[in-house]
Amino acid sequence: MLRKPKNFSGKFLLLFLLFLNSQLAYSQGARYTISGYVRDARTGEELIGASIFVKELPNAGTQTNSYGFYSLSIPEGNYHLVAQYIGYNAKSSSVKLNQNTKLNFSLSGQETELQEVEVTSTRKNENVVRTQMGVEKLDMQEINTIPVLMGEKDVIKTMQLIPGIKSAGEGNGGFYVRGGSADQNLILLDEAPVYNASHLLGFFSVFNSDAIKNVTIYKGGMPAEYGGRLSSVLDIKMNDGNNQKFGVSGGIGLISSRINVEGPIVKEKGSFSVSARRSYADIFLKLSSDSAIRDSRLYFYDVNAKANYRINENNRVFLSGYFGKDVLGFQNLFGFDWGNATGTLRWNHLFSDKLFSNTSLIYSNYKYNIDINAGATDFNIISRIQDWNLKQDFEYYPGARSTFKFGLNSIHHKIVPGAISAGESSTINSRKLPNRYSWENAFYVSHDYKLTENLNLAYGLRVSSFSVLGPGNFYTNNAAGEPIDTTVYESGKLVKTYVNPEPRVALSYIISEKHSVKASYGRNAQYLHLLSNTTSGSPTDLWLPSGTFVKPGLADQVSLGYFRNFLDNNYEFSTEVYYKDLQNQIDYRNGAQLEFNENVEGELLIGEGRAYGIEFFLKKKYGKFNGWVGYTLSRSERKFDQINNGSYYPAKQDRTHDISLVGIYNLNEKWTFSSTFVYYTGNAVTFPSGKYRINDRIENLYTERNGYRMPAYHRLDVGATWIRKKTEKFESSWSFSIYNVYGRENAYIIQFEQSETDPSRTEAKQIALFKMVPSFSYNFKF
Amino acid sequence: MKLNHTFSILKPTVLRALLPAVMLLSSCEKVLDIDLKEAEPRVIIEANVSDQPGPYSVIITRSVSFNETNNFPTVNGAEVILSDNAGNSETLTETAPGVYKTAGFQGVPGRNYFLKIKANGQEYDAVSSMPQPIAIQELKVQKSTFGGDRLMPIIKFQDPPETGNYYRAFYIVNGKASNRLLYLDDDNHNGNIIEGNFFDPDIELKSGDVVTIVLQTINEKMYRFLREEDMSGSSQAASPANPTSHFSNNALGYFSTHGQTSATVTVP
Repeated sequence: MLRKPKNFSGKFLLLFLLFLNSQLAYSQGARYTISGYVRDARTGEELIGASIFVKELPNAGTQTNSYGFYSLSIPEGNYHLVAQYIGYNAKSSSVKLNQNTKLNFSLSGQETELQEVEVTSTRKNENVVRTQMGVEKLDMQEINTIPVLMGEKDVIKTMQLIPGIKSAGEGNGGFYVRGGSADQNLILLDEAPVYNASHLLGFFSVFNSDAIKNVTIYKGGMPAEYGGRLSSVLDIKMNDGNNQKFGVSGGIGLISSRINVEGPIVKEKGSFSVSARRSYADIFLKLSSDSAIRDSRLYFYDVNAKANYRINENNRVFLSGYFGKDVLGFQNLFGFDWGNATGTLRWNHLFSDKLFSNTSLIYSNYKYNIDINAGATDFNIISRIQDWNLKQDFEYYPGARSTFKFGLNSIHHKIVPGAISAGESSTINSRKLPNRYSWENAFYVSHDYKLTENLNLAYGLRVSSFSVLGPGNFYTNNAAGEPIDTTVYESGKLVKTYVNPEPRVALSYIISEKHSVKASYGRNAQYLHLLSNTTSGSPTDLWLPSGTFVKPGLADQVSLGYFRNFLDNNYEFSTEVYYKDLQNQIDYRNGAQLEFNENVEGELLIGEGRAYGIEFFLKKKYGKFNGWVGYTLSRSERKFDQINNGSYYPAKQDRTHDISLVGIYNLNEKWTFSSTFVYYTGNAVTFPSGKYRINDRIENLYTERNGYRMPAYHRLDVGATWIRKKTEKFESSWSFSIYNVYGRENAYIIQFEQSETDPSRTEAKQIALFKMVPSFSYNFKF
Repeated sequence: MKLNHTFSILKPTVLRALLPAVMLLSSCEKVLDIDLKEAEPRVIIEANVSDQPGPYSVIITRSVSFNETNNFPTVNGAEVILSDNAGNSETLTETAPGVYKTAGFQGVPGRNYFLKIKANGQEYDAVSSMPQPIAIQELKVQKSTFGGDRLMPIIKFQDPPETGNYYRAFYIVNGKASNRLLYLDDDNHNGNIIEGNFFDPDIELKSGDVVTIVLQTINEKMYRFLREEDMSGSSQAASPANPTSHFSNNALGYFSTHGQTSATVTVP
């Protein structure tokens, strides 16, 4: 079993050497390296994805990496280097290059975006010229301005306004990317996977936007350094903290209050940032006259903390963590809490001006705990998923037109599916489902290469493997899902290993400065699957590793795009068409017992799927009035032998039309107004086509899976931000918003039941969650 | 008796009970007029045989479209034959439209039973085994542990040492049975004395009420049917489906052969 990876790593090395060779072929003559960091002048924080280019060499350009580092190797000469980043004034530096040079940039933020700041010689057509497609970066400024439910700024909710990324609905923390299911999104917080990104059963996400520096989502054509999920990667990076001066900011909202403290540990060498937030719904509970409500508990909190320290020019360490929890309960009869904890320890090391290395040790844990204490029914249930993850990433910048990335990743997963411990007088037995252990490994290499002035190629290979480890009982099930054989494996024994090569290719052709065409192909493998057969998901949904029955999910996606900027890059337009083929998808048998079932595989069905669509995106980035319009026309279908006679049927997340409109208007230095509108086709659902009487009850008769549609969803939100005071020392502002302005009753669920007015009939009853919800919050900073 | 539901009821219960209260908002409901397809009528069969003296009944009806009234046509003039693996066999008599009853047939735990129905030129078959009955050791009515002054019946019975025992119960007050589906497996309480609480939000017990609890020992297939039937009406299920039928030839229904005991108490 060990031989295979060895073999692969041999190939990997060979491949890499080939790359190096091809690189050497044209790097003749005296070339020197300019490298350094791009930072925010005010906070000292590194800027991720800032552009660096050389005025004299239109072909030479690069972007800062996740740690703000760049490196460019160009021939000897005199140059002007320009660094730019959205929302910041670009900066130019002249360099006389006759030796390897360090050059750091400090960019200052554009104080207001009111003046249409035109910095000459900057490039604003980044979306046209970059090779990568299917990627969106969220601007934290936009996230803070866009109105949301209860005024809780939320990266996940705002992200759902981008075409191809769809909300799973109100009261549902999940989202769907290009027809994939909610568990096919890899959500990373400082590289640590977050297994449940919802607070309060899905109304809010676990990401406190005060703690977030950068959000990038990949909808397709993922770079080779990412893997493990089929549909998307949501890469969230936490703030490093201001290394210039101490600062405190915070806010008081309707649902929660938050506070952030940041500052230098050693000025310019290290900083920290701590953000915390807690909801206070439970304080309102105490006011209730109903004792059942008064004795209930319901709140969430989370803490994000990060610290970094630059040991010297070539070494820097980061430590970051997240801890959050939701608590529900009623007296001491019932308690239910769940939450994530993540931790990341990172070491940046520069082996040379051209070779950047990052080593990360990552911990991630999601668990829930249920306590029931009602007389003879006295027990406690725990369940968790815990990862230890080691990542080694290298970035190598051999010349001005080439970047290599390579590295490896090894994750140990431990899943505790469930353990019941019963009280002494309980009539329930203590019971524990066996833990499931697995080991996921991957290595990757990718090369971004500018073939000609107009043609860019990014290609790479990720090879992933997944080993199911003992101990445990592994069942062989018959077609009806009943166990016919059991194999027992000892601790540490390899039960099954899967290996998947995942090629990734992206090509872009720049027709002119204003427009380009791009194409990409990528294969992704997914080894962990979320079992959830409720409409809106639950904190108790269980992660199941691939095993002898459930094979790794595979997705192949091809996409083509056209990118065009108008009116001096003030307007960005893009359209992308994609087709995705999905293998080894999971659905459930009728009446599946997913909780506390040792042989849960027996309740699953394995099938396939396809998703395709076209996305249009028009964005105005600059000026007093900005925003975007997104439209997606798409389809997502599944096929299981046991469902709908084995023919393709629409997946729940199949949405024909999906429209989003976002408008932000900066009236003056004090006032900013914003508004969003969304419209989408209702989810595909199963409704009854008949009814029958059995057991003295009237039951619904179903004829097909997902043969109906929920009513279309639409909603208009408005918001306003008023900056009350803004000085060097103190800033304060108020945010107001109205969610669902015109009070559309959007269906949350539709129940088919006996009529309340006429018991001889049945009726369809719609339940909507939120009509109009006004909210406000107060924010401060000093 | 709904212990097996502890997990799945969490979210809907919590959502409905806590969230609206907390957010000082009430969710809004309205009746929709949905254009539903009209399913082909299906034959629906309910067959019960116990270890208690008969008569046992088989009820055959048909499904109707969702928007029709709750009048379900009966299937009349069918030939219904009940037999067991000990060589007993009886043809049931139609005592009311669609209702077929035995005359002298006696169910015995441990035996296998066969049901053969011929109606309108179609044949529907089912097979079932009968588990041993289990006695109710105690039935009492007491205040609910979940707060409030609500009275709740509680039964105690001994689960056998081996796993794989399944139960169905009926909660009857003054001769009227609650139509909630009450079923339990022994996954979490194997070999224990099981305490079953009965809760029906529509029943408010008061002094003088006569409470009867019927405890049936059912087989796994029947347990699964009840579970699936219960889930088929849940608005929280992502993909509701019909319960898996015990009958051949596209008839939908169950054939329950069970051991049965009962206990009665008057609320003091």
